[in-house]
Amino acid sequence: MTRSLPDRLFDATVAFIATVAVLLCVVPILNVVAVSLSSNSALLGSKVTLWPVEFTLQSYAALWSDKSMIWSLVYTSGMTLLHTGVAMALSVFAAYALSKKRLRGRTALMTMIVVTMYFGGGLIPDYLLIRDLKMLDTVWALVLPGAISVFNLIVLKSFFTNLPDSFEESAVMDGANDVQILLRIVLPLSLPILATISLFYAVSRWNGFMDALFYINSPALYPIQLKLYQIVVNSTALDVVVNEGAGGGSMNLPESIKAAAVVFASVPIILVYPWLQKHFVKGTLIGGIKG
Amino acid sequence: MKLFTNVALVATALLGFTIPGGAQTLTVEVFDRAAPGYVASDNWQTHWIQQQVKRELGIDVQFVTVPRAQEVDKLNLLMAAGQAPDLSFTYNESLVANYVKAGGLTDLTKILPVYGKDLVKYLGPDLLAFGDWGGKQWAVPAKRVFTGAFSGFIRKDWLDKLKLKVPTTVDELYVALKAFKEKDPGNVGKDKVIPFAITVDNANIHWTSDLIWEAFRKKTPEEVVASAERWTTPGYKDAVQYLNKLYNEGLLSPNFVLDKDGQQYIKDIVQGNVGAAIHNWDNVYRPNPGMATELAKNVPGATFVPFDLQNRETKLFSKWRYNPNGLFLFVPKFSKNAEAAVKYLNWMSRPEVLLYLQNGKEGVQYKSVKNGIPVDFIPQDKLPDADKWNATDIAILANGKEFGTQDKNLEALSLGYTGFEPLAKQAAAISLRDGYASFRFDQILSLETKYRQTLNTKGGEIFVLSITAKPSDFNKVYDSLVKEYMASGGKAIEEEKVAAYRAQIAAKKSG
Repeated sequence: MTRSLPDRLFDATVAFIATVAVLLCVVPILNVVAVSLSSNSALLGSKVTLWPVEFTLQSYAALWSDKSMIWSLVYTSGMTLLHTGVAMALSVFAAYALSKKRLRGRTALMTMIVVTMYFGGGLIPDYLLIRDLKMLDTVWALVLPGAISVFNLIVLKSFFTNLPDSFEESAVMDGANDVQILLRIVLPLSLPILATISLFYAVSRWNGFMDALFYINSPALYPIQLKLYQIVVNSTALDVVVNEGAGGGSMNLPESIKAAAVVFASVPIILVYPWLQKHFVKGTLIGGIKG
Repeated sequence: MKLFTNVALVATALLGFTIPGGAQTLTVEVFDRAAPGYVASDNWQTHWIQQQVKRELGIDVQFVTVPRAQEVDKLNLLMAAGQAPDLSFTYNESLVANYVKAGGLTDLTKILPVYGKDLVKYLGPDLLAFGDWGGKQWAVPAKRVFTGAFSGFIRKDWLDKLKLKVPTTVDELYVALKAFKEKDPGNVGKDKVIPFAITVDNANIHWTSDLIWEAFRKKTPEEVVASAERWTTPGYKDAVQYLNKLYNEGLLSPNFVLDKDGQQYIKDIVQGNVGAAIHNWDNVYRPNPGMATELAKNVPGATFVPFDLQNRETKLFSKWRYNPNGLFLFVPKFSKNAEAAVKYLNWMSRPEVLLYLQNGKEGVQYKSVKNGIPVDFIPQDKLPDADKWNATDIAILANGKEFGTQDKNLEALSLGYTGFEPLAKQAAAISLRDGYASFRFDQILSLETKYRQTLNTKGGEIFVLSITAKPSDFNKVYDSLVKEYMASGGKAIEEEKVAAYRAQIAAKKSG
């Protein structure tokens, strides 16, 4: 089939824009990878762009030999899984209940939930709350406060609302109760949205560090992004050099260590994407109802 | 476990007795710099401190980490929530002043002479005065062993090729920079050579050009020095105009406007494109990132020597240097352990304790001793994790190594710059030469806290726009921007400072 010229021009334009967008995302990553694999002299001489110069694994060796880094990786993975599990359970239960018209007072409940999207107590009240709940310096300070994201809850709720009522009706006729309907019928039909929302929770937990900065004091409980943030920021702050005068300079970390830490902290979460990819493309709902 | 301790503490407080043999717990802040392989609150140094302090003072020390770059945010939060360590600190003077104003600190005036006899002797009255606001000792200022700040650096190999001597005045510097550009003694290419490199850091706008400002400063009474904003200080406009001339003749870093974190500056120097610069007195000689070392690898024979600039009027080589204080150490109001905190600092002020904490163990952290000064330190990344350490952050009582006398301290300082000892010594001497420290106000300047952030941003604009202006527009650009700056808080700060200065001098005379 031959296609018209405007069609092909359109395709070419789309391909071009897509390529540019992809490069905008990929080039900085390649640069960081190249920096992490280059020698410090090459970096100071600005010789590194997209390909390692004076290839060395020294930075990775330094990170691997750091037990706290490895621990942080393991700990952050576990903490992210725990958070995602807790968050998905709470969000699914809440969203399912709120999607049912027969739930009395659901508009009031929903309003209360939505209000928290726009108004918060602020940092210090939050901190005092976490302190009074005895969660300071524990993993729960990172797992529980963000366990329901209102945005994700709304997305889930509208998805459940849009599921045809006929599924539920037929299940009720077969004698299923609410829990059975949710677990056996609704959830299997919702895999794509569940995968997406899980990913949202997991990625935001993996990448988050501000809460840890305030709530966590023990270095053993630092998530990897907080460690990374410190590695990158601590050694660049000019203010530090100015305040400390002659004393501070020796603490500077080489660029390549910083870059290696960035790679180190990004790889695990990048690995999750291909695994969840198939759920994004599967249209589970198609063909659910016939006639 | 923690819960249990808390419950136990509350119980003992309620019942009004102490458990027999139960020791007091003192929490002490420590900076966390996220150095790989090193846990700031749990390492051989913290263990040693815990052991010694427990044995000698019967106090259990617990270290609380605060991330270095976010110390102010975290400290504010901990203070607001009543969770800050018993012994906390910051470099930020206005932050401490704020806490004092808000009534957040414990008054140490009476406790210090009782539990801190050695401490008071070590610091001395002049230094302690830096922790005094309104006649009360709110903070213990740590000692800054070395107070030099700035030196200039210039390529010796280029000067030699051009048969020029190391400049000592702004006119000689101009001649050298012009020759660097036109004769290109390093053969780096006329479009690539950067005769003089600067960066832009709004909070420290003068940092990479300080000696030039000082060379143009006009002789003024102390009151003006103490109160005038940079941009209205007599003579400083001429310094900016000098930089404007350098820029328009292609003698300044062409893209300095973009170099906010100083990374381009480092790269330009290491690649051998830069002729001269002004920075921290040890800037190019620092072992990390090792600019002078890397430069010598890239360009054989290339060396930087320190230079100094003379004031055009006074003929002195005056320049700003640090006040003799480092960190401000303080005890929050809600802490029940002020006495223990002072005892702890008192213990640390002993020469043998400071020596051990700042230098480590012979044969582990350093290899030999020269004239009583530990030398041949093993670089941090070559040490096994168990031996990694931090000299600055644990020994909170002193910024810089303390060996008891000024000469020995200087000697020890220059020995830290392996391969560049004589040059570092020369630069250190320059940084102290005719130095003057900022005037210290003993009352809190509230407008300073209110406007400083905004003014720093505006100052950055003045710096960038007036240096990059056409020479014919310079006066117009500079004057209008400075007028705006003064109207948005600059004037108010000056007036507040003048009033505070006069009150302070009057009080001194009558007292």
